[in-house]
Amino acid sequence: MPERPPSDRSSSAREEFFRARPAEGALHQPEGHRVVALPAALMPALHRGLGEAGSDQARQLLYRAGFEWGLLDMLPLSRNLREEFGGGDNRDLWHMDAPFVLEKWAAPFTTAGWGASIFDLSAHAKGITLVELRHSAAAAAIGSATAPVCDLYAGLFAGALSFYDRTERHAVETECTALGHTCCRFIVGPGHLIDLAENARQSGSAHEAILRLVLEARPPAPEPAPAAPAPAKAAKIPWKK
Amino acid sequence: MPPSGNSKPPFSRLFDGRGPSLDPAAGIALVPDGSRVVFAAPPFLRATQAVLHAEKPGAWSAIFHAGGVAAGQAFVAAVDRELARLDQPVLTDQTLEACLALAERHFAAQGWGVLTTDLTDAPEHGLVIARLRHSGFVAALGPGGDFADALPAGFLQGFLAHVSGQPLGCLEIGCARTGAPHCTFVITSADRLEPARPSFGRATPEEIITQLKS
Repeated sequence: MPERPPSDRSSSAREEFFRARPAEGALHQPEGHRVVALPAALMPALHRGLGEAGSDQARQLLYRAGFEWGLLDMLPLSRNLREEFGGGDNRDLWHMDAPFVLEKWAAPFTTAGWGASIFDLSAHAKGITLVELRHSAAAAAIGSATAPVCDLYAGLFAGALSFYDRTERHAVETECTALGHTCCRFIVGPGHLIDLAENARQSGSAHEAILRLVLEARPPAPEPAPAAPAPAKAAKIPWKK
Repeated sequence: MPPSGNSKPPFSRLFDGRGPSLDPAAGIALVPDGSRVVFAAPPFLRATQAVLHAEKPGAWSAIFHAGGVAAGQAFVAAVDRELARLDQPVLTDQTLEACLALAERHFAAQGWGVLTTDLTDAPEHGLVIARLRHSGFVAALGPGGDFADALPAGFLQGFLAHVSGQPLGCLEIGCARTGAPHCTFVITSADRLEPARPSFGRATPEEIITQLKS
């Protein structure tokens, strides 16, 4: 799916969203973080350089890098929000309204050119967050593919939601612009639901069907208490006659 | 390499003097040649470097170098198209100094740091030395044992190989991340760099340059 051209609201990135310090060759976000521009050519190199395109190994590595990225990125936000709201026991990030926190977290990504994310928290009570990503930089750089390519973003959302929800979350991309969809869609939630969703995706299920499956899934049965270890049987060792 | 000289090309007129543009609603940033770019804060660089270093040592540098080479090639192709539009000589017909000045300007515009190039050893030894101060990659990754500037090194390689029409290599031979006062790159024919590679990270940039001259 081709990227739509920037709207009329496009403006000079450096003038309004980044402060340039020419003497240092540096660009800074309004919050003070220094940023570097990464060319579109880096994304295909990242995908190609991690193994066969679309291989499990490459996807896993990108996902894990994204997960770490999400966690690392939430830390300064947590600190900044705490300072902004004057500290105190109830001023931690996870006491704040989820839409507010996630919007605050995602805004710098949008102004940094990573695409625009919209969070649907209607099932957040069940631990599920839906993310719609428009104009994914990864999908735009890779072009058409036979499987979703935004593993880095999937990890990013999983890492960020793990931080906010204070429990491990995972994510699966169910639609991707590299597959011809109008946007990239992610389901973020507990690991067992995301495993379910990923299996359904690999079986060819569409986003709506996967989402229904996840929302209707029962909680996992509690793990049975470990049985007393069975007495060791006399080992049959065929090569030891 | 293009000839040396002092003529000033019309680089200030390139892309009508535009900077990068951003659609803040769509989250799309474009550089003046129309290609997309993302601005990465330290968490992205730290996370990718840490995970790849742990799982696939050497991959982060190789990938960022390859991405830099492709970006350098794409940049020079875009500049050549723009020079042709302006009815000006393409980069291969500009002086080496002018091409390097363009690269220095590009580095600052990308937030990569302040690049200075040194052609002292170019005529006799075929070496171009580049030094980067205030590297954005070093600032993001913080102190460490690995070099940080694979992407800028790749960019210089792609850019200068295209400009010179020769198979050049560019490697970082000293990095401020390891405590050096600045990052140092050497650019020369690719086959000359390989024998010196075992010295990288062990010998000082000056020692490596001396080795390459001999």
